[in-house]
Amino acid sequence: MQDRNQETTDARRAEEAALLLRIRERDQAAVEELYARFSGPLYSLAYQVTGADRYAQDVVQEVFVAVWRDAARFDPARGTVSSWLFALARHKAIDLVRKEAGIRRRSVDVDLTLEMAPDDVDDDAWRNIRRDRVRAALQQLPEAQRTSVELAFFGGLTHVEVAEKLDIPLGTAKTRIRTGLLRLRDLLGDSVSEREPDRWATETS
Amino acid sequence: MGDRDFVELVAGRALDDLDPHEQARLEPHLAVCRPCRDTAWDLDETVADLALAAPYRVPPPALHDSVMKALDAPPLTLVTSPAATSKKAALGAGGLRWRWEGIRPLLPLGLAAVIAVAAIGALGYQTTQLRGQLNDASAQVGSLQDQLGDQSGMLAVAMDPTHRLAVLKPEALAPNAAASVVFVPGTDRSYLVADQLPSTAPGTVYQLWYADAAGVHAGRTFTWNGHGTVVQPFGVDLAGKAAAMVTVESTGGATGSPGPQVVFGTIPTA
Repeated sequence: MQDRNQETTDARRAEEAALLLRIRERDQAAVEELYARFSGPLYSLAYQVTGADRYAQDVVQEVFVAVWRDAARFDPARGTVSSWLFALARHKAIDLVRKEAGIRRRSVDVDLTLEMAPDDVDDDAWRNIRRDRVRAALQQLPEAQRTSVELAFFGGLTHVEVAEKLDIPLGTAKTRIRTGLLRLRDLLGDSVSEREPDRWATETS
Repeated sequence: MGDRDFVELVAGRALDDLDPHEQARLEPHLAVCRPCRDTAWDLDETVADLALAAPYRVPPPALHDSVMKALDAPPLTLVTSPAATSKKAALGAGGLRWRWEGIRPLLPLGLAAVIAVAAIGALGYQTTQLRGQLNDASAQVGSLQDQLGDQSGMLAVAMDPTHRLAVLKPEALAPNAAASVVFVPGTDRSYLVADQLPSTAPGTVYQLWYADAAGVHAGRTFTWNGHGTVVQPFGVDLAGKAAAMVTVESTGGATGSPGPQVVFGTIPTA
């Protein structure tokens, strides 16, 4: 079962990398496909970080415009398409939150309610399975680690802000966030690096 | 620094949560450490997975049309000047052609300085003030000659059919920088070429570094006024090296751990 899931994951990654190649060739239909595949998760992440529909829409739009104009910046030697897109969305959402103080008072009302949303139904079966696994893995983290990781990831707080919010020393906050993330990696248990060659070694200028 | 420390830094990197000193320690290490690179890959994927934990929300239908319309809109150029944009575009196309542009302003400057020196000499004044001016002008000419020498050396390398190029990515300290190293494998003809590097603050210098299996090695330092194109010789054979970077250091430079990075890039193997 694990192998089957991994095969599906690998196949999706290959498809997504192929889409990026087509986008580099200015194929707008490939953007449509990428949008169909990622707009929901990107919008959901942006909404979780910004807490507002209009800002989440802005983030999604900026991500796709960035992909269209700078698809060549995607470096398959450094990661997958999904990790690149989610990193772009998270950076843009956090930038928005930091610029627009009115969106929310950061480090005070970060919403960590991850289980409740009015339309929490994704029509992508693979992603639903993946989502369940990630949420289950999060629940297995010690509460202190989980809270720290969620504040850093969804709240976009720096480790200094996490330390302030939780009233813990900076070093403790760093350790909780980083150890929590490493533990999550282990819990999700499908380390790609154990199966594949060194990607950076094949990088070209 | 132990392996565990590096792994923790890699986790911090995945969340964009490293301070400049941590980043300066980690990036050269990543360039030479396969297990840490693998961990970095895994943790980037873990972070992408984490995004799926956000409650799923269906995007408003109108978002699709606004995204597709935005693709056709011309890019805003409020921050980057048209000249800078065209330079970056040319670099993106894989050429070094735009680098020639940075040299042109120096030629009249050099000529003017030479004329100034000649004029001062012809007057034959022996006053201390004029000697001071002459010394300053000579220093200027010397500096310009060095720059011109570096630039012609770099151009000779760029025109060598066996040259290789590695792009250095800008870091937060110089987000608009466009930098690369160009070198002829098997020789010490290697140069940093960088555009839009900020000027160095008083008491600080830029420093060149390269990394190989033996660790990180400090290179020459230089100050910069923020105008034009930086050309600095590495003076080592960069073939077979893992990475190159520029950092900010206190005057005099560093010899051990590098300071905050300005640009960084791995060097392709062939």
